[in-house]
Amino acid sequence: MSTVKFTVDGEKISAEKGETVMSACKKHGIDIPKLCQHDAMENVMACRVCIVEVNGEQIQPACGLKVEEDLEIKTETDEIKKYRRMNLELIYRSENHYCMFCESDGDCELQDLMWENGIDYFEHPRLFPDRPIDSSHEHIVIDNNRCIRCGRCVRACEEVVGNQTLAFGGRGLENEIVADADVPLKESTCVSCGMCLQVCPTGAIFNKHSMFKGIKDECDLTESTCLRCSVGCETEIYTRTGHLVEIEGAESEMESGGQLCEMGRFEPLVDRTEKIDDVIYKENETEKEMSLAKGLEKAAEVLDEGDKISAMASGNLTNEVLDSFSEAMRTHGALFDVVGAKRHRFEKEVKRRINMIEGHFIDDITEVMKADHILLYDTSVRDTHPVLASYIRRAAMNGTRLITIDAYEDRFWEHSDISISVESPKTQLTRLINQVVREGKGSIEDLTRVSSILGGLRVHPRDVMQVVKHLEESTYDIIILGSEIIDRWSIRHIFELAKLEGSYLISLNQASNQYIRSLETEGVYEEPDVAYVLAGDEDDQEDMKKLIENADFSIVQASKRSELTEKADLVIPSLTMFEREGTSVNINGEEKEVERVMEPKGELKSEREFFEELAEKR
Amino acid sequence: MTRREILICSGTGCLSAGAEEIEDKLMDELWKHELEDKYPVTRAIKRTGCMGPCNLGPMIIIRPEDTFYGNLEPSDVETIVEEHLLKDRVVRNLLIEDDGHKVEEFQKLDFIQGQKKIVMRNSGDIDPSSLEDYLENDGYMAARKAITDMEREEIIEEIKESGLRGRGGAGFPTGLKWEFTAREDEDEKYVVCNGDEGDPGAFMDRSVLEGDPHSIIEGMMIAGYAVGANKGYIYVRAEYPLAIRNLQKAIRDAESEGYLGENLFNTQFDFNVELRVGAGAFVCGEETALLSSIEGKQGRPKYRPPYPAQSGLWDQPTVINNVETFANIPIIIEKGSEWFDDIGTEGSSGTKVFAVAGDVGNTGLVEAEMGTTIEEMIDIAGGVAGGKDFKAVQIGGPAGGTIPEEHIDLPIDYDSLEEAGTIMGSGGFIVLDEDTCMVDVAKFFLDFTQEESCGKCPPCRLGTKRMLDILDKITKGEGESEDLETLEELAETVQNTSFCGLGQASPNPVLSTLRFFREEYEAHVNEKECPTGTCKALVEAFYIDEEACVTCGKCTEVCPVDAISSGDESYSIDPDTCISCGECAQVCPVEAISEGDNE
Amino acid sequence: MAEDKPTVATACMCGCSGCHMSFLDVDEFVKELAELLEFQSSHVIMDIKDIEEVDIGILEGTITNEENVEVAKEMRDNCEILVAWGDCACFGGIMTMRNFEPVEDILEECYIGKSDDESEIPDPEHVPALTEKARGLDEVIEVDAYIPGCPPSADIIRYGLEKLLEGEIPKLDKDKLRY
Ligand SMILES: Cc1cc2nc3c(=O)[nH]c(=O)nc-3n(C[C@H](O)[C@H](O)[C@H](O)COP(=O)(O)O)c2cc1C
Ligand code: SF4
Ligand code: SF4
Ligand code: SF4
Ligand code: SF4
Ligand code: FES
Repeated sequence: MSTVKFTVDGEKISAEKGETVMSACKKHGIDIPKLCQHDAMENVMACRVCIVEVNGEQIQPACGLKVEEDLEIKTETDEIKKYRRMNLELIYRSENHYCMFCESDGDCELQDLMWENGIDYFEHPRLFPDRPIDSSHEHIVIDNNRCIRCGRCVRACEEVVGNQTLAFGGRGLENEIVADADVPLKESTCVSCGMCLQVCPTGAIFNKHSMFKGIKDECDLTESTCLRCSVGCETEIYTRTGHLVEIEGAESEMESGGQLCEMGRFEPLVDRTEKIDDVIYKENETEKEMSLAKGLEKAAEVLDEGDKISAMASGNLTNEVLDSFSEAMRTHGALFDVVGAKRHRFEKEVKRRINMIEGHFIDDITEVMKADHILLYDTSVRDTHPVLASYIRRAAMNGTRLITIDAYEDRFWEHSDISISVESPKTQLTRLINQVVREGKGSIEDLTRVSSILGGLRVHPRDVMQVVKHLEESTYDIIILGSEIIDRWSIRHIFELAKLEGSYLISLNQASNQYIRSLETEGVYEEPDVAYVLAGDEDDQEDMKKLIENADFSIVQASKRSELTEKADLVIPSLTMFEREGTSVNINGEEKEVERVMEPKGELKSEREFFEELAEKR
Repeated sequence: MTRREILICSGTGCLSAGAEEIEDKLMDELWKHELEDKYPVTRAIKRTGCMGPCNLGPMIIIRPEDTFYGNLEPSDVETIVEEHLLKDRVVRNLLIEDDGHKVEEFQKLDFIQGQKKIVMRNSGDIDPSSLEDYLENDGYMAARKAITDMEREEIIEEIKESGLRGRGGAGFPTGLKWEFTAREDEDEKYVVCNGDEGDPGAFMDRSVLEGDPHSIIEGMMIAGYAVGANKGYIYVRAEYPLAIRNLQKAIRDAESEGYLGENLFNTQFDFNVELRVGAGAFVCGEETALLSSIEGKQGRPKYRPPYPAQSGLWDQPTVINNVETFANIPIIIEKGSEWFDDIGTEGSSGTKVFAVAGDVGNTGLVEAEMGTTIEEMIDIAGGVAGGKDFKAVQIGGPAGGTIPEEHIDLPIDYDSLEEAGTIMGSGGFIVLDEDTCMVDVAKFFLDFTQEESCGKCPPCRLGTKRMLDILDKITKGEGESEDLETLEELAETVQNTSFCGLGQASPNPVLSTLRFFREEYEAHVNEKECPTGTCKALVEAFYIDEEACVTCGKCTEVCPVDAISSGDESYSIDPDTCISCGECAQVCPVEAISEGDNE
Repeated sequence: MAEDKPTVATACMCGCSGCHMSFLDVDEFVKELAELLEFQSSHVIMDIKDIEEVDIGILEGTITNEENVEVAKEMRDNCEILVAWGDCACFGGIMTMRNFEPVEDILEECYIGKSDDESEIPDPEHVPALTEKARGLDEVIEVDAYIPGCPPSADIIRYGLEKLLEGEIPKLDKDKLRY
């Protein structure tokens, strides 16, 4: 990278060639006013607020202008200030900006600029347009009356989320934000990630669950890691007087663009399930509340009495909690497992049998966007790992060939180049692909043989050939194996395929915390005397449910009421995900800090101490 | 009896004036007089593109005499056939008059004589749907010469030396533009013809596309060869169905006769052309928006640099030129850069086609040599209509400006126009007579650009709206003293900070009328008066002096809106109905009627 | 007291008196002010309705009826420096939301549509008629200084008054400007 030198308001600055004046200035602490520019997206130079004077003659937007040797930039000439004021005023006065009852009052980039530029009176009258407000969506409101047409939301939805839901409809003054072909957002292709509202500089798109709960400046901010899936997005969590206000993605994370998904951004805000504060012991159909200490004793007692003990933890807990829990359980002679670990164990076994090296596994999922081919086996990724899904969509939009295979609905059909549907992700298909790779096309040219292998599969041999052809053509292909695949043969075939083709692999499982890969886990007794389930915030885990249903006595430790706690004999409170602190390992194998967002409200202050005590009570 | 050819103008203007009816009638008459052998339809009757003097339509030219009959009614055709075709006698009463004398030959029309036809060389002369006709007129000779005889650099040099500048508005040197693209080291390059022509009242590109489509294909092919592109796109607005039809046929014919496709003229050079039909938003004429539109995206302008020449269609180097620009190419290659450079002025060679409209004798297309003065142009167009005085001319459409009477001897070329505060634009030329309100003119053009703003950037989307509101206020008599200043400030902001040319140029009509006709604005604002009586809200009704009225009733007969009612002592005018035309005052024998309040 | 103390008059147009309330929040500064200024009239602290010649005229609220127009003009005629307090006076504020609909429709909706049977649209003979549009002060009279905010904080009001006492026209920006 060569550097160039240029002047800004008389100050000499050096910058990298190809950089914009705005970004170079920012690095030197000179903030040029802006509205449409956003680091996570392409610059469109639409708002004309960042205008600067170039070489004493031209006027150019700093966000579009590339640095050049000896450029002479002035950011605050009388002329520039006059034009900037005029444009700001026109923007403000042409829509219905009534700050005093706007959701974004105090959190608004337009308002900030108005103040910054000392606009304490107006030269132009208000226009009073009457624009649509779309509040159909569960979480998001789009109020076109406050929209400044910066296009950030449109670009975020397309460039960051890879979704292309939002667009500009209409020309000139009729230019408005619409979803798809102007349908209510609720009925659109929106994936409810909330990226649009995060980047909207004004009160035009806002969060229903956060509105009027507090200005960000007046909130406490905690930077943490989302533990809803193993992507482990970095979060910025705003609270006020101990209450959750809003969750945002950290925009410093450039590749993700500061994305979160519906689970990470909205679900904690809408969660109204009753919290568990006390120990509940059920005896003869009656519920008895007891202190935490009593609960601990009771648990120890039951564990002591049990012969076959199964312990299962949620995969969304921190390393520290998982460690101390497994330790406590082992001292009580229990078999220990974590949700998602089974898939990992299968994987490990396959790797050992086919002699697979770690080098096949990608340690940065954003690599997906650099691949020329992606084979996605099990499209549930869209719901289980939504931000990874956005990378896949972005890759597909930018020309990566996407091959999808699913037993159910192909959740990437809009982006998929070859979409293969199988009755269920059965082993035959993978075996077939595998076989062609191994034995050559000849092995499949005999169609009768093919159909016998295919059995009842709704898959055409042509598709198989296509898949193989593309994999062979590609120079950088990534195979993504969704977390719903838990049959050993499929895993083996896919891994083998990767080995044969030299493909890279991303193998997903249900756990958010990939620390499970270093933990020792094993299968549990299916019909134990005692089942101890550490559910945390989890409530709909099939394996956990099955386990307590089959146990003589069940202990569920959870933060909130759920089907699990209804069925348990002994319920012990756990911390919520915002009360917990510690570390967690994401899919890239990086250890991430999980910060405490709120002080624990109940008697339980530390799960680790609780389990240490439980271990001692042996 | 001489062997003749009959040319029927089938440009859009003439078609809507009834050219098809004339053609039908002509066929009937030929049949009736058993002339079908002498006048085989395919040879002797030719539908041509626009001949130029559109307000004389429908029109025909009979060759070889070059006799011109215009403003024809179907009933005239019978006379023409019986007299002219059968008896070789010109039908004098159907000839067109110029300055009181009848003109027999088309070339002798004042309107035609003052012109110099380069771009329109074939339009109105050949059958646009016939490749054969084009070939007969040396069609594709230039392309053959360029591709088989010339080096790429040589062609670019030739175009550079000819001094040809883009006719789409900005006037960028065409050769230079080609050179930029030629220099790029990419396999895929494109040539795009901008036929969006969105200026209100403009139809020069349309006429060329309709009247001489092959010349555009040929121009593009030469460009493609010169810059190393094998694919061309012609972007035409959907409102031009005839242009689309003729282009489609031209492309098909050229393909089947080997003038498009692979190994052209037995060389290694391949070239193909595809037609793209645009939705017709004005901003789609802006090159980056147009390219987005061809790519199937929303037609919104993009930031330059990079310029299309480096990174255009699908991010590949792209030459984009206007229709008229391409039409000049074959003839430059054919006759040489020197020949072309000799035409016109120092900085502006060649000709320019103007759509002459407004208060002139003859409206229509005028192709004039660069450097022709405004006065000469108006003469070509038959002078100011109705013997009125000339006030100003609006040149360059909504992005252009107004030039007042005192500059009537201004030569029309890029540099002179720019100095006078306007631009060549795509060639709008609207003559305004003494009765035109300049505030109203500014409002008309601003109204257009405001409507056409794509909405991407605030100065254009909102600034033009605000300016329009102020103009509206002024024409309604609600102007305030600071309005003109605010208008200027807004204009400056919009001009200097808008994203694309549409916004940047949109204040031009306002600024140039403010520059030359400020007192007219001031009259509106300060005296609440519209000097030309155009702004309805500002004109005062007429009234009748009761003492003086002799109740003759002459005034009631002339009032076009029946505002005058009779009375015993005196007639009276209803001020709410009166439109202040002043007809009544002119007929009153005792001068009892005058303008203003009856106070 | 010395005669050369600047005189002040304040009045409220169509507003909630919140700006005046916020002014009262200057707390002990009131005492200081009393030393520095002479209040000729101010509806929140004294019962004088007539506006006489003053140095500083302060107006709160939107112009929404004929009386407001009258008071605004009277104030303008009687003061040297006219100060607009609050979003309403500065830009029209929340009251301008009625400008979305014609005034007749608003009256109809309020007094007929949303009221009981006996309700009727007030007679302009008795109650000042509404103006066609609700407007900020500077759309009717000339304004010299703007102190926006809904309401402007006591600190900012104080800052504005202090500047005026120093003989300057207050101009707000950055941290001082809020609305
Ligand atoms: C708002 C706007 C509208 C335009 N419309 C047209 C048009 O209709 N036709 C055209 O040829 N050029 C139009 N242009 C100019 C083109 O951007 C471009 O300069 C031109 O096509 C280049 O061709 P030329 O060099 O042959 O003139 C327009 C420009 C702007 C800013
Ligand atoms: S979007 Fe911003 S400027 Fe607009 S009303 Fe809301 S806070 Fe004020
Ligand atoms: S929530 Fe996400 S997917 Fe939905 S419109 Fe916004 S950015 Fe697009
Ligand atoms: S909704 Fe927000 S982000 Fe989208 S264009 Fe409007 S102001 Fe910008
Ligand atoms: S100036 Fe701006 S709003 Fe106007 S057409 Fe160009 S980009 Fe669109
Ligand atoms: S930030 Fe540069 S134009 Fe908007």
